[in-house]
Amino acid sequence: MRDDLRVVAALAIAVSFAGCEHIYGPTSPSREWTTHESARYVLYTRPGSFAESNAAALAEVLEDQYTHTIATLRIAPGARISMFLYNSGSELDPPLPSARAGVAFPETNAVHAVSFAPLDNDLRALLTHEANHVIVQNGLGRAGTSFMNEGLASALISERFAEIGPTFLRRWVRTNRSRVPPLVDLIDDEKWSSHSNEGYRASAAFLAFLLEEYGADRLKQIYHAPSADFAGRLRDSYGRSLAELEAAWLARD
Amino acid sequence: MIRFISSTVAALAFTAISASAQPAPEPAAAEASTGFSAQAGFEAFALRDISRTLRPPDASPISWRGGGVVVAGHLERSGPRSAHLADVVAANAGGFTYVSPTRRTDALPADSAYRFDARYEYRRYLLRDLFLKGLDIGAGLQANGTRAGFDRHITSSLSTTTRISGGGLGVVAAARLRRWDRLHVTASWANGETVSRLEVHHSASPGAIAPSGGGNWFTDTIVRADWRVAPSARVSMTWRRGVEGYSSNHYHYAASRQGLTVGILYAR
Repeated sequence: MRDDLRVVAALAIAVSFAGCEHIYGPTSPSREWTTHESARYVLYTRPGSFAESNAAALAEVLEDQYTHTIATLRIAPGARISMFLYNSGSELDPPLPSARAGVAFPETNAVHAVSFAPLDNDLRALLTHEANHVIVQNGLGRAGTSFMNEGLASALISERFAEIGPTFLRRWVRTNRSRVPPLVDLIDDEKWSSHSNEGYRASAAFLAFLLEEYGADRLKQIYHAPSADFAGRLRDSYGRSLAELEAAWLARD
Repeated sequence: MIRFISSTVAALAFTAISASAQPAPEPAAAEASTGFSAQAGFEAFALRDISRTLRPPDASPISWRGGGVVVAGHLERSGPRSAHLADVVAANAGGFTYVSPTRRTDALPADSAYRFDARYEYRRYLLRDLFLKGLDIGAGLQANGTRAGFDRHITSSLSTTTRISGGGLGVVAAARLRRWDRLHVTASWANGETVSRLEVHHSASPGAIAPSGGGNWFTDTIVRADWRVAPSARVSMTWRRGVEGYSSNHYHYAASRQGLTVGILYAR
């Protein structure tokens, strides 16, 4: 009997860990939503929220972004995007890392984003950046580096409603030259930090430079290159080294 | 990872404690037998992509869900104290939908998924006749090989194909009930990890995405019941539930599958 109890106790300990599923598995999504539909988006908003009352204005920004991105990259339009707009990052488990933050899920055409008043440039930039992840990956597939994945989503931000895209990035580089990380570090996924504003902005500014100066077709040639191949693929496509292009970019901006 | 290791250690501790708790050898209550079953049924499949691989992971609120036929073969050579088990499972899923918290939208009809699993398991029944006659509790180790594929159509002209091949190891806790001659019931719960290779192709950039290594965890629960209908034949029914998470370079997902299969088991 004593042996049996020991085994039962051991089994209880094992079961209490509940296996990998309960350690690594995702939580269930929230079900409290109202929806607003536009041509290429479904906006999921919290009942009574700022996002619900401004859904039409948010959809207008996002529709413009969809048109802008597929025209700039010359890619086919993809699927309809579901934008889940939260009042706070703490409504999610795990919570989003900052007050205004978002993440994209290109495989299921969805976005999580925190959306609270006012409808300012920060909110426009956040929503359009996350939508761009889905639009670009629908059109081109998975990017080879975090540098490309995050940088291009910001480099493509439309400026119809405000100067929050390439114009903002160019100004930021001009006024923050000492904070611009070296490109050789940014293209290396081992050194990429998802919490670095400088990394996001410098990556976006350089890719916006490439798009403006050389067009979308060459950019697509380096889009899938992994870190180890990136510099070589860049040289093959642009005929100039990473250092030369970096110098040209910083001289222009 | 630390909690996974803790989980594994706990399972191994359970094995060790159980082993140390063994009473002196007794006459075998269950006869040695070899059985083979072929089964077919239905399996539902669901996938959510993950953006941040935290604990818990940041997973999409939308799941890509489908279902289809699953066929399974099971070979078991069991004795009073141990068992060798081999399983092969092939499943195909279609009829996909995108399921959000409040609505369901059909995916394009060409969307499909498949998986092929092969597993071998060695199991020891460390406690026999626990609490009641015929109830045995055991633990085991499992080796597996797997191949999975997902074909997702974004539009009629844009599509992605994903192929994942790998192999790994798991630890198993199991129970079997052989209290009655006609009905045998076995349940197992496995946790483990696999190492795999990922290949993704996008129709707009064929061959452009470099293959990458990755890995996943899995938690599988299987309950099997066999009902004797002839001296060497049994009707066999199996319920399987599997949950897994996958992580590779810029590609992460969590998937689940659940299915029921029915077939015939020949035993001697």
